[in-house]
Amino acid sequence: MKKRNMPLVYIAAVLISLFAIAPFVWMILTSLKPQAEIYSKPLQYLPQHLNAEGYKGMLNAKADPNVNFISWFKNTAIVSLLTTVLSLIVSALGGYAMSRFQFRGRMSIGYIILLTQMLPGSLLIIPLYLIMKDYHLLNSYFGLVIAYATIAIPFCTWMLKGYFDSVSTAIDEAASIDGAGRWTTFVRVILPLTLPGLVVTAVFSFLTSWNEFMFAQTFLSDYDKWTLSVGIASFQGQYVVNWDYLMAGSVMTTLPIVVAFWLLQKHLVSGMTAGAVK
Amino acid sequence: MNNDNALLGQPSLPTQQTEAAPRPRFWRSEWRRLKQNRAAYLFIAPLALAVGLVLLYPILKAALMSFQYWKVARPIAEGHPFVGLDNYAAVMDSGYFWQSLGITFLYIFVTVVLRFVLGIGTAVLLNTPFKGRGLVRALVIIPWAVPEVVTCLVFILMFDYQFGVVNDVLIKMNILSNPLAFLGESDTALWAAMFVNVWKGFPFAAIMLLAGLQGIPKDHYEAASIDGASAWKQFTSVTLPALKPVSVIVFLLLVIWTVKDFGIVYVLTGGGPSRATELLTIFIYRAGFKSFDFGLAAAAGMFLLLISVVFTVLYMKATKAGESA
Repeated sequence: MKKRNMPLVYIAAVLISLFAIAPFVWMILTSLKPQAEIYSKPLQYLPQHLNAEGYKGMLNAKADPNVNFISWFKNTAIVSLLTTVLSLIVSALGGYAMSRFQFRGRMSIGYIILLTQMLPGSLLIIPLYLIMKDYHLLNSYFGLVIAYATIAIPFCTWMLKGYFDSVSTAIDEAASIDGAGRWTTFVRVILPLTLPGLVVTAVFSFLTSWNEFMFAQTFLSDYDKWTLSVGIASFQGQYVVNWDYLMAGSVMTTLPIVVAFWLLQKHLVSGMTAGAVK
Repeated sequence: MNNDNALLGQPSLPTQQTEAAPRPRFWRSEWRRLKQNRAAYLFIAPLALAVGLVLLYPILKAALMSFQYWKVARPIAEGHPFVGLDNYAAVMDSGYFWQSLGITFLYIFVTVVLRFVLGIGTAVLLNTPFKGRGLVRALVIIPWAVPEVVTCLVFILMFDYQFGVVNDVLIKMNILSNPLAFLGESDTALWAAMFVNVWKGFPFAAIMLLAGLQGIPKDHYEAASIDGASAWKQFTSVTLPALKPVSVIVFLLLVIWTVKDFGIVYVLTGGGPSRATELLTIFIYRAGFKSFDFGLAAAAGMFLLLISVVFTVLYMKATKAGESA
């Protein structure tokens, strides 16, 4: 890039950064404003008086019977953790088989994995709702975890297969010569070598379930079983929206995710792009 | 990848056995193949079980339901009898279905193109060395990280008629003379929803395309620059052709995901006002969980599936073309 283009580069960089962060910044600013300032005319962009009422109200379950932020947070964390563990186990096994074994049906499983990527959730949810109802899995973490894990599994398998492919098969052969069986090779040799890939995949499925809305909204009717997405979205239908509460809840829902993204940026990106960009 | 398979070999295929191979070795390799396959099937079993029970079985059930009577609110003694193509006929007769199909295609077209263009611009920027590039990259990734529901709520606040910051800024800049209820008017709601989708989705396109850009050898640019090519000329004659394989994949992925898109529009508008933002996914969801006609919802879902299948086949073709190239 020639020197004379540099001002243009900086202008573009500032514009695109502003575009990307403006709603995020607005959320944080609003969460710190007293209600009067949120509804003030003319609009105040920066909070004139810092105010933590929203955060306090959200975290104090007794203040408002419609707010159960701590339960929602806990529910979301439990569901997301269980989903992550389940999908990681299944997709590590499957990804390893896809990467290392030559077996009948391997190609068709590859295609099926790809095909599951296109299944629309809004179609899937109709039969799944009836099946969950028949097995009394509505309103339970277990039902939601099964649905989330299965939706995350194909993509996780695909990602992990990529990581396993990047480990040379010479390592498997060396372990095999040393007398290790398939299982020992997998657990003791291959998994430790692909730890970064496992972490990325884990984060991916954690985020997917942390952010999911449609299934949680449809499967969970008990309000103390709700996840964060459902709980926060429930504010929106009310006649009077307490935007300071709502934005405080949003900040607390978002910050863990944004921090995770920043910490894992490089790995996340290489994991996402490994399969498609080659 | 292909090398790995070659290393593991395919001892099962008889054509690969040499005629001279002694019999005991042949049996041993057969036995090995069986054992190896058994291990493979054990490893793959949980995956097959999960995908089969929670993805394929429900889809088959949905396909079946689309030929059955499933009006939950009006149960009949026969339960769920087969009604032939009644549900499909009802879908085709519904003006709202065709309207939602049109809205879906418009939504896909506009948001995919915009995310793509913005993504390429951002990728080219992030591929240019400048001070603070790491920071810009970290900031650009934020929309991707913000949960969908949170994104929608922030935009509902920002688009608000009375105290939304978007109206405030546009009026101060003299672009608008009177405030607009962006999400509350049929004319603007879909475009506002598209804007939110583009904001949330452009970082993915940017990051994928950036990975593609980083794969272009530097000497291509040097050669072009020696030939006296301007920055724009370099972009059109070096960058774009080299990005073509990745672009096709990113483009199709965006389309496949947008066909399924539900959450953003549903939380922003619920499909309203007066169905102006009702995507096909929302039409299906409402047919199922608001009108409780699961048969109709399943039949409409089959149309959605068909659209997905078409683009997925295109995607498979594109990735295969990339592999052999």
